[in-house]
Amino acid sequence: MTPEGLIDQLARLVVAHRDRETLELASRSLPTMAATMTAEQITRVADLMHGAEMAVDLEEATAARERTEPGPRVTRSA
Amino acid sequence: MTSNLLQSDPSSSESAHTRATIDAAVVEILAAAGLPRGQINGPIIDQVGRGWYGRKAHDCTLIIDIRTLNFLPEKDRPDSTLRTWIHESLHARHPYSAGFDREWREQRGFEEGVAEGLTRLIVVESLALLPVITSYHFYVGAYRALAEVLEVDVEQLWRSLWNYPAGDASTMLLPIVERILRERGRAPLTPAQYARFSGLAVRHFTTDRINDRPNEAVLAMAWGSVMR
Repeated sequence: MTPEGLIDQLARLVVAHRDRETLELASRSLPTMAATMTAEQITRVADLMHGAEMAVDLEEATAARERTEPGPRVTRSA
Repeated sequence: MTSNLLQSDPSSSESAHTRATIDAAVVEILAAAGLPRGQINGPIIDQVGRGWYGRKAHDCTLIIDIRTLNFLPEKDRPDSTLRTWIHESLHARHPYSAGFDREWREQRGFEEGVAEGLTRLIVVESLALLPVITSYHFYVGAYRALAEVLEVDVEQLWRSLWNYPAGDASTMLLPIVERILRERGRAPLTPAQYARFSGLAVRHFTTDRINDRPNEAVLAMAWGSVMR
């Protein structure tokens, strides 16, 4: 697969599976991927992984807040 | 010096000394640019190996990952390390706002365009360094095109947005544009123009466009058309 194909595949993977395990799996493949890529492509992958990890952090933080603040949900009427 | 940092053991005293020296330089550069960094935890230099170069976490910890930076060709590493350090430091002007999570998920380009635009002004135009520049091209281009339509220097637009914490750019862009129009003696946006501008901004700065390449002439036409 070409580097561009790898980047597209990685983008789909980390967007579809926003969880820690997927990020671990993806990051393990990066040294091999980087060996075939230009500096620009490596940097695009870095931005992609940065966004994915931030998104996972935010989702985990939201889930943690919901676990610790289990108060009744208020439904606002019109 | 950045080469030493990238090659040394992050737990060594040599690395700690180099980190402190570079960080002091970053703080000085940002202060001189009138864009001072806020309080942070760290910076932490580590071999994280998660694929990103650097990040500013929610608790204001600034982390630089030398393992990923070492994936770059050797000639690109020093300047790209400094670029990352400055980019993440620009995010760290204040703690993230309450709106940061939503904005990050849906419209990351509002903040990344500001941080990357200012980073390029400092690192490339002022310091004449040559980092790898591919990050957030579309968002930077969208701001450049908007500045052209407003007939202002894009730096003025980015600096105005930098005054607010990360997570507030999406809500502050329109008030800033209205202020610029007022200062330039131009007519304020009508309610219809306001609504069209908001919709276009959301489409330009949506997270989905992170890998897109900008055509600034087309972007300028789009901004211009919603403001007519």
